[in-house]
This record gives sequence, structure tokens and C-alpha cells, in this order.
Amino acid sequence: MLKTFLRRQHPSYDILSLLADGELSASEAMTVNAHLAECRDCREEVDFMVDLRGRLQALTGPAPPRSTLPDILGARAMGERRILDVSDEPRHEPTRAFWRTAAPVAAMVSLVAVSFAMFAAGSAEAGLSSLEFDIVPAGQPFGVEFKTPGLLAGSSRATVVAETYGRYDPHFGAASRRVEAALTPRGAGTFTGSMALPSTTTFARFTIESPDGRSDPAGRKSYVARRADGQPTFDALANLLQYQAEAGEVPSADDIALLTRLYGDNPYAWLLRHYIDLEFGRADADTNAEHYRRLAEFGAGVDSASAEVAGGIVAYAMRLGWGNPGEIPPPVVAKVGQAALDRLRTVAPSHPELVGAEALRLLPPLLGDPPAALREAEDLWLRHGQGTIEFYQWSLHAALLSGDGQAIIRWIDRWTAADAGAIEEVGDWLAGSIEQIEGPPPEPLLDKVRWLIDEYGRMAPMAASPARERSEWAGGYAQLFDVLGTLLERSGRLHAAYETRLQAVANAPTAARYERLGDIAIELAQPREGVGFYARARELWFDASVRDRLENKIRAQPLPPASVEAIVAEARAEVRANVFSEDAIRPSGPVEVRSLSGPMIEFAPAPEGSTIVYFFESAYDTTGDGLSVLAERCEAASARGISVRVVADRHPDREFLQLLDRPGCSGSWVIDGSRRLRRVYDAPMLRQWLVLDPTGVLFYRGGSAEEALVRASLVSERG
Amino acid sequence: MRLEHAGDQWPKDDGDRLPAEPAPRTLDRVAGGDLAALAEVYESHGARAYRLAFQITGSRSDAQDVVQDLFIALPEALATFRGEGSFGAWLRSCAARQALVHLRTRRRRREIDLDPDWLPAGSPVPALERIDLETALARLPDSLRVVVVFRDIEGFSHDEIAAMLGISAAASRMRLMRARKQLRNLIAPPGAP
Repeated sequence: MLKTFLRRQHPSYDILSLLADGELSASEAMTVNAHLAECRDCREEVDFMVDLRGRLQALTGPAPPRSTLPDILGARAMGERRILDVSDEPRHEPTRAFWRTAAPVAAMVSLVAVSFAMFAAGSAEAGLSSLEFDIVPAGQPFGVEFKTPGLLAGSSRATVVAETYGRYDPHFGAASRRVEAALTPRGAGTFTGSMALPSTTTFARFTIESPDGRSDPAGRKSYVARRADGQPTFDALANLLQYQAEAGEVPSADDIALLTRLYGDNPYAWLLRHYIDLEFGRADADTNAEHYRRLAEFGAGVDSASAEVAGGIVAYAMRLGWGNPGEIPPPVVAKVGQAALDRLRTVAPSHPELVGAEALRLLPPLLGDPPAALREAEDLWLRHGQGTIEFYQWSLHAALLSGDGQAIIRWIDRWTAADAGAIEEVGDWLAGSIEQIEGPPPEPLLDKVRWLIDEYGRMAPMAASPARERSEWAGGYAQLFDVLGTLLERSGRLHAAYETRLQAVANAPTAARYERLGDIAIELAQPREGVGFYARARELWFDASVRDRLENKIRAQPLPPASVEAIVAEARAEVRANVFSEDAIRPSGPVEVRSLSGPMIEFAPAPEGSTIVYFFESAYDTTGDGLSVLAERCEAASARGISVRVVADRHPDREFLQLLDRPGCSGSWVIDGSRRLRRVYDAPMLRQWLVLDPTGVLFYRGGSAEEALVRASLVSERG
Repeated sequence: MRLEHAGDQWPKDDGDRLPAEPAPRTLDRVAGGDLAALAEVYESHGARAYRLAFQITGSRSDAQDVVQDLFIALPEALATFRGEGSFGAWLRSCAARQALVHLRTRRRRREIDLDPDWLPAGSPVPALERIDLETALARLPDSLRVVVVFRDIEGFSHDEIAAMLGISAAASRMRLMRARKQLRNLIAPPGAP
């Protein structure tokens, strides 16, 4: 039959794919090969597939960050243990048409409006877990029994988790609500408990989780709300299909057909099919064209409800890059955007409470023409009532993208007036997009950020507040200073910017911010008077570093806060006297700045005959070229008659040993992270680490990677 | 043109890609908690596990999490390695499963994040964007990318892929076909500028 078929036309793409994989039977392959002998197009398709495999296998991919091994070894040494899921059980069951399995259940409960649909394909097999629960409408408590001979059998407790969904929403991820209940053991491998789903639930997916966060795949069951006639409600079916699509489970063709049969006139249903086609690559050029034609019709049509969904689908497809983003024709996006705006105009007067949410969904297509469309959306929002928090987010974001300082201020005012607690989030948005502002920022914007800092400063948690709360607040505070620093820098006030950033670092809760000190010190190295700033930056870095090591990395053996303070104070006094004094740091000769963006900055070059010690800290080698940099430094130092010693916190692999083989180069390493960290407890040992920086510092910034900052300290060993 | 069962002809690995098998004694030391032995195994197999995790998750940070989880758990997990196949293949299988777990966790917590990358920056989207293979692979939907990585790069059979993903072998074949089709649309032909 295939042979006859192929005489007339080209084999389908899936036939060619099977041929390329050697998956066709001998006779089938012979038939297709006969076609290929005469058809250049098909031959090229198969050649492409074979070639693709070779090219894929030749991909080298990125190398793991250098810090990975130290982190692994450190975690093991600190006693950390993790359980790897190495079972052969499928992570989720093959998707079945839910109505096939649900039909008997529906028949049993024909008098109730809802029922449970079981997806326990395989759960009845011997040796696998099973989850059983009563059949009750959502909103009422029901009993749960979970039996497992597997991973959780020895556990002291388990949790049943239901991810619940109400009205179908194409922005699926934001619509779920998690409900959970503890199950207690009742004999070997059996757990029981009870729970209730929110009464608005139309669809829920259950899983069983162990105390350490593992989930039992056999516990995956679903709840589907039904109509009085036993058929699933639209919301239930749509939620089910989208859940499957998002979880990578291929939705059953039967379920999709059921959606079309029952709800084919619902535009959401068609758009959901479109979504599934996009997700699973079912849409070829022809069907895509049809999809987009219908999408455009929806967008331009009078059915404003579908315009909303169409806008959401376009935005969603563009965001996730399903298929080729270029396949979505810009005119369609524009058309949907226009229709979406029409929808907003329609909705705004009668449903002011929805305006914010509507605008949030419509903004992506609207951004195709931000000045006019956004202004109108904003006007509608202002005229018709309270927006949602998301609308503030989007509006501020859009204002930041436009770089309009006045618009930014306006939206900061509106947002903070509506929610005084939003300052931290406003700071997040500013920090994320402030770079969009080109040229000197308007002075009122700087004032506005200063105002945010003042306001936020008043919200500082009490000293007695939990450390986490204080830490989170400090992070938000530091971020606002950072934003202000960026704006000051843009306006040419470098010193004020440095001061502000030092304050940012001073307020930073963890080491996450002391990387910024590297940048600051580099900037400060330019003017001579920057040395004073530099000294303070180093001091702050030291504090942050010690605190980070003490408070964050040694969680397994927490120290009392008083001990932390004592250690920091002692160490600070120690190094303030010996390391960070301006006298010790101020160079005797002119500051040597070789390059700001390239190789290095060096204070007080080490004299001939001395030894330079480089401390190689893997965590900062984000580009993985730290050893290459050090090799260059070794060569340069050797040419100047200077010996080099390298202390590294990484495993001594071949690359590292080759580095040490260079003339005049020697080194040692510490790979036991826990031992290294424990040393930090011992203040005298701090000297050993910190004395690495008595006379100068070397910073390296990778030429191509802005985020790469390899930090190494330089020391002249005396005697 | 005649194609045989290409799967049988694939090099499972070449010298560059297939790290040397660790000695049984080394694995015993790893299982006993010897950090130096763990470091040794990481040095020989970590990069490849990371690459696989990156190709599955499409994210460097996720890949790092996967590899850290994998190697931190390795001493205990070795109890399930029966030595029937190669250690490298077993470890890759573990890495793949761990990456899938990570992927699913990530999908479930996915929200409408406001990533400016996807926003139209005032200019029309190019009608047909040609990108390199690595980028194209990363752009595939997770469900398709996983299959193409497992099949075309790692050489797993469709039955093995089906078992790992909880789908049928036929669905695995179908996804592979779709992935190839999308890659065909996305990448430049060999030798194209």
C-alpha cells in the first residue's frame, strides 16, 4: 500500500524521519529508498536529518562552572546527603483519553455533578503505589489512602498535594492554587488522611510528596468536574488539556476531539487546540497559516472575549518561542493588539475590576505600538477604576522600556500610593530596567529614588526581627542605593555614585553584593583620590565576606550572633591596622592602570625579586578562563623577575598542574571546602587569608563577559 | 541512496566524548564517602553530565543544579548501580532523569514572568530568523528538545526514552520527527552564511 501511495506522491515527513532512524521495515525502507532515488527534495530531507544528528553530536556545549566541584565536595564534607531518583518507573503515566477511564466512575456517580477521573494507568500493576480517595464534589472533605511499596514506604509521613484550577485561563501557570494535606502512616507502606478542594475547583492533579520533596509518580491522579450529564465541563476539560500540554504529556487525540465536539463553538476551545499544536509542533506551514488567519479573525472580530484570549495566545507563543517566532506575522500581532484594545474599551466601563487584568494580558500585543496604545490603555485604567498589581508592574515596566523619566515617576507614585509596601518591588523593577534610560536621567527621577530610599529606610525591621526578614529588607535597601548609584553615574556625578554604591554594599546582606565591590574598585582606581574609596570598599568587602562565610555558608554549625559579631570585630580591627589603612594602600608612585576593560589594574607593582601570590577562588571564575589569566600573569611576572605562587580552592586537575609547571611558578590548593570554611572560625587563621592583600590588589575583568569577574588578590611576600 | 538502521551505526561515543570508565575500586571509594575519589569521578564524567543536563534543561544554572544534585547523591546512589552496563551510561541516565525532574519542577512553577527578551522591541519580528543549531535546540519546546537530545545526541532507544518520559515509543518517534522539523525551520543549512 505504501508502495502504491509513494508512486503518486512524496512520503510524509514522519516516514522520512523513520527512514533516517532505520525504523522502517526492510520492505518499507526499500520502497522509500526507491522514491528517494528519483526525488531530490525527499533525499535532501533525509540527508538533513542524518546530517543533523552528526551536528548535534558535535555540539560541545558549555563547561560546568569551576565552582561546581568545590560546592559538591564542600556539601558532602558538610554532611549534606541527597537522594537520587534512579527508579525505572515512568515519571508520569501515558496519557489516556480521560473519559474512557472516567466513564465507569461517572456512571456510578451520575447523581452528583462532579466525579473523579482516575489516571492510574499502571497503578493496578503489582508492586506499584496506588492512591485512592472518595468521590465527593469539590468543597467537601474526602478521605485519601495511599499505598506504596516504593520510595516512601519507610517514611514517617507523606503529603498529598493537589494543584487545583478553577475557571479556565489561558495564562495557565498563574491560575493554580496548591492545596495539601498531611498523610499519616497506617501500617507498612500505607498512609491515610483527608483533604478538601476549593469549591470552585474544576480540575485538580494530585501527587504524593515525601518530606524531602520527592514525589511518587503513581500518586498522580486527576479530578475533573462534570456536568449533570456526566460529561466534563468546559473549564475542567480545557484545564486538563492545558495541564497535560504544559507538563509535556501529549494530550490524547480523543480528548481533543471531545473538546471540539462538546465545545467547538467556544473560541477558547479552538485557541487551546492552537496552543497544543504549537506546543507539540503539530502545526505545519499550512495549518499555521490557517491558525493565524483565524487568530486574526478573532482579533479583529466583534467577539471581544476571544480577542483577549487571542492576545494572550500570541503573547504566550512569542514568549516561549514555540515554533519559529517569525511565523507569527507582525500584522497579526498588530491586529490582535488593536482588537485587544477594543476589548479593553468595551470592558473598562462595565467591569472596572477587570481592567487591570485585561490590560496585563493585552499589553504584549499593544507593545507593538506602545506610545498610542499604551497611553490609551493607561487612560482607560485611570478612568475606570482600580487596576491590579500586575498592571502597575506592566505599566512601570513599559515606562522603563520607553525611557520616559516622567512616566516612570508617575507610575512609581501611583503604585506606591496604592500599596506602600510595594517599594521593594518597585526597586526590583527599577534595578532590572534602569539601564534602558539613555543619557542623563531627569533630576526629579533621582529625587524620586532618594525618596524611595527614605521611605524604605523607615520600614527597616526591628533588631529583634528574624534574621531572614532583616536580610531581605537589607537586600531591597541595597538595591535602591544601587539604582541611585546608576542614575548618579549617568548624570556624571561619579563620586556621589561611588558613595551611594558603597552604601549599597554596606547594606547588602550577603556576598551577592560584594562582587559589586570589584566593579566599584575598578571605577575608583581611575582618579587618584579614589584610593580612599578603594580602602573603604575593601574594608566593606571584608566585612561582607566574613559575614557571608560565617552566617550563610556554615549553616550546618550556626554560631550565636554574638560570636559572629566578636569574630568580625576582631578581624576588622586586625586588618584595619595592618591591611586597610590608607597609608598601607596608597601607592608610593603613580597608580598604574593598564586597562580598565582588558587585562588588569594594578596598584603599586611588586618589585623585582619579590613573590606574588595569587589566590584563585573558583566561585569568581564564572567564565572558566581564570587559569588562562593566571598563566598570562605568571609569564608577565616571570619576565619581570618575580616569582609566583598560586593558592587555589579547586581540584588540582591537569590544567592547574600545567600552570604550576611554569618556571618560577609554584602553588598549593585546598579542596576540602569544609576544612577551609572551618578555618574561618579561627580568627588568627583569618590573617592567613587576608594577608594575601597587604600591598595591592589585582582585578581581572573578562573582556567579553560583562558578568565575569575573576578576582584574585596579590601580595608581595616580604622575606 | 540506501539507509540501514542508522541507530546501530551511531558511535555511542568517541574518545573525546566518552570518558574513561572509573575502576571498580574507585567507585567503591566513592560509595564509601571518599571525597578525592568523588572528585576524580567528577573530573572524568562531570563535564559530560553537565552538557547533557544543559541540553535537556536549556539553562546553565539548572544544569549546574542537576550536576550538583547528581554528584552529591552519587555515593548513596551507587548502591543501585549493578555494574551490568557501563558506569558512564548509567550516570548519564541518572543525569537525564535528574534533569527531567528539574525540568518538570521548573515547568510547574512557571509563571507569567516578565522577561523583556520576548517583548517586541518596536521592530517587527523577522519573517524567518536563522539561528545556529545550539540556539535552535534551546528554542525547541521542552517536550521536543528532550527527545532529540536523548535520541540524536545520547543515542537512547525510543523504548528507553519512552520509559523515562512516561510516553509511548510511538509518541517518542513522533516528537523526534516534530523536533527535526522545527530545527529544519530554525537553523541555517550547512555552509550557509
